[in-house]
Amino acid sequence: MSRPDSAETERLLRDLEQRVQQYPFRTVRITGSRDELLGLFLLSKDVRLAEGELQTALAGVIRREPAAAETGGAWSAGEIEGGNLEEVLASQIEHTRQTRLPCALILLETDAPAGAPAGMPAAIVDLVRAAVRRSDILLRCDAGRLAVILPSISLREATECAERIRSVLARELRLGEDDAPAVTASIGIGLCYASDRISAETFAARVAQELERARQQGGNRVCRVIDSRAESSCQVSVEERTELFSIFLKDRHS
Amino acid sequence: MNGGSARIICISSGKGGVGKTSLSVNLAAALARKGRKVLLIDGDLGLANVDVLLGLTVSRTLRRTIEEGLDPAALLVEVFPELQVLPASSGVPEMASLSAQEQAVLGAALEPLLDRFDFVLVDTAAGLGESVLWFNDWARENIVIVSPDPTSLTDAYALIKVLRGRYAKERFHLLINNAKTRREADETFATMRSVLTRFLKIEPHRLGEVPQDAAVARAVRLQKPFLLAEPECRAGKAVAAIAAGLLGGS
Repeated sequence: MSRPDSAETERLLRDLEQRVQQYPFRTVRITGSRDELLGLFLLSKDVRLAEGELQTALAGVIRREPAAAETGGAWSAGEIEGGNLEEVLASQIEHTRQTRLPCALILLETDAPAGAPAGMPAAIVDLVRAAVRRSDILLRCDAGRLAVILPSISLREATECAERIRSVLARELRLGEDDAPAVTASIGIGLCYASDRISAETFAARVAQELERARQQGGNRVCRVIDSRAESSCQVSVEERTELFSIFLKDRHS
Repeated sequence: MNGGSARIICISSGKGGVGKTSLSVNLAAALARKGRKVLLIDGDLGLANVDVLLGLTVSRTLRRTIEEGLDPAALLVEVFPELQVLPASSGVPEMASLSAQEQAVLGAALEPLLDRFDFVLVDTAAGLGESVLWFNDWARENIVIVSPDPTSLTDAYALIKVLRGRYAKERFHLLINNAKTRREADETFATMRSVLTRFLKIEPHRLGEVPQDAAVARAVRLQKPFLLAEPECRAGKAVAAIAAGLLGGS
């Protein structure tokens, strides 16, 4: 089957827009920079939104494409500068629920020397970018933090990735003579499973706690959210074993 | 994901040596004999045995799909027209723990195959490795095999607990294997049910039981399903009944 061209796609969307009118949905057009119809946003008429809320919801799907001059053409697919962490993370958590593959979040903060300009230095972003996969998403956050969202990854791989970032930064950011790091990085890491029912805000807050823990321990460390569901609550307890073995105990006593 | 009509059933046990592969092979053969198109995937990616129990000669395995992107349709081995096998490798430890990327590759590669079959059975490895968990999560239905001994019960329970905790799985078929008597099978199921309902709030489905039978070991040595080697044996009749039960629930 041949792939439909953009005119066919637009006809299909307009047809769909007409048909949706029979149902209790409102449609909002998603258009490109040349006003071409790219898609439709369907919203149940049962959902009551205050003035301005729809625009707020749609703001999450607007993605600024950085100009080549601004970035030097260095930003590859999947990297977003200045994106909203919670919005991008919420999208990845939804992806995790659909694919059943966990996603990870790494938060990185540096302790720059006194007098250094605020924000995450470009050199550090470049080093982090080189240490992650092309499919991972980099975001500059507030307070000079850098976030890396790693879709479809196991806890082991995500931890290895965080450790790779830590060791690259420790190796590359040295002050020459005394071999002391010019910048120390603190890293927090967490994993979200498909079965986790947490919001992006909660997930980000948990990882931020680990980042803070790493920072308080003196930097140049990776601290990981201990996943109680994966590691602790799945342990078979003494009570469970006792009940499982009850049939064999009867044999022993008889 | 897995949106086709095939019933995708993962067969696991936690503990090794409880008869997963033997029951998988025989259940696949029983469903195929009832006219259903069956795909049996050897999900023990590092220490495969399905080909051994079926006496198959295998030159290419799922490793080629995972490492080279080879279409799994090219790997299918026909046992008889209704039963095809996707073989795996033996002696390849790295296959036992697939990375998330490899899991994604495997899942995407298998999807187009599913519509060609009525049943897709996955015989997993023992243990709680990433590949085992991934196949269990990928499948829509989960059969957990338990034999009447404390280690089997503990490991089967641990597997179910992990699948519930990490993947939110809540529906399990229990298959009791190697029970000496009907009463022993009843007690084994009752114990598992009691612990699962009390601690995990899971109500398991009793799929059936396969009794201890010397015909099973004889068929292994012949590299044939016991269902075909000795159709009138007790284990063979039990597996045929389980297959009928699965068809009744479709």
